[in-house]
Amino acid sequence: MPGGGPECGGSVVVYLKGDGDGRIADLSFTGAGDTISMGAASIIMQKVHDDNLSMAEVLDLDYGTFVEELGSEVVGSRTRNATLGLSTLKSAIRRYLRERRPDTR
Amino acid sequence: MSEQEIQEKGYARPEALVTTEWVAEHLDDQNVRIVESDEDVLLYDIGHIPNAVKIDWVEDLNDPLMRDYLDPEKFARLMSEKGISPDTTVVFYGDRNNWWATYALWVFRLFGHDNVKVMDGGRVKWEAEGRPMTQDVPSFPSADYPVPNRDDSRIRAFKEDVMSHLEDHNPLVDVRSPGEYSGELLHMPDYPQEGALRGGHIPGAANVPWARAVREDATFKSADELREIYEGEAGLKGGDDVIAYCRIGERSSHTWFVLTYLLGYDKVRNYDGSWTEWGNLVRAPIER
Repeated sequence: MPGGGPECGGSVVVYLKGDGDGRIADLSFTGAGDTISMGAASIIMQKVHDDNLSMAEVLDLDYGTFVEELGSEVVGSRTRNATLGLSTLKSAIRRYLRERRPDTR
Repeated sequence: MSEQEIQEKGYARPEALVTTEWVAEHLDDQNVRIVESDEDVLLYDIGHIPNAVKIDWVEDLNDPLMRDYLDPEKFARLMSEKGISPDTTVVFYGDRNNWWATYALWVFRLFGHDNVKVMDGGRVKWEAEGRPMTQDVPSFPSADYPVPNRDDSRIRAFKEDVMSHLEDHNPLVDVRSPGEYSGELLHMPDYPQEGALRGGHIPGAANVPWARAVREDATFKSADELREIYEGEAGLKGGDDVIAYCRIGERSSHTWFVLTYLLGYDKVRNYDGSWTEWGNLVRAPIER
């Protein structure tokens, strides 16, 4: 799932593999961008791994809280850069869940 | 590169560029203030030219509420804090081929601070030459900076100016990537507010991606090479009334700098509303 824009702020591609049970089997990203966007993307990927977050838990993560954890003096008003990784990850999860939804009759 | 090599590039106003060598010799010059302005705003904190101050284009130069630049009182206060007086020679440098350095320089020019220069090659050249960098943040005594008059009309275009520019068939330069110019690239998923509702370009605009003005080492190309691009290819000629634009006016300030100082055009304006405005503007004409 791609996110962001290459010319301004940064862009990432998130690679997500689910285990079929709402948990994340594998997660990585590639990207190019400024220190804030790349650093924050790296931090969120690490957090998901360290805290063993499920897909539902990632979707529940609050952007404002995440920015506070990064440090608002560091992020300043570049919140878009700081949340690029997390928002792209959420998009990847939503897409995964959409595509795996069983047919309803 | 010595100052002579800048002279040899044949610019209209060669004094607008200084070499890394010149900056190294003027680190302690009280009449000079070195300003770092980056897209990647944390680079300064990681390491910067000794005695350089940071100007964060987003936090320092913008109005926090309305889409505009700061007001004259705030500009005067910012100058005072950075130890810049009206006579100070301000030398800008930064990352991304000095793209944000020229944007900050352009904003300074709105307030009539005309004693401005760019360090050719920017941050990457200083580093490549192994010159010293520091994390020490300098503090300068507050300077006296009287509240200036702000006159946007000389170098800034608003959408009404673009409309009349179109009626007069005057040249426009679109400095975005070819994909944005053609309308293929609208916006990336999840960031619809970053793009525009419509893709394409302002009718009649020539496409010259901004980074064509620089070499691999981030220094500006020679005047001959630039003329080949902007005149030979894009059809501009000296004396033209030109408006440059991109997405939010940041890349086009780089081109504004090139046309104004390096090629000596005296009627160049930066349309900072750019595509984020035009591509969302009801009934604004578009070409693909």
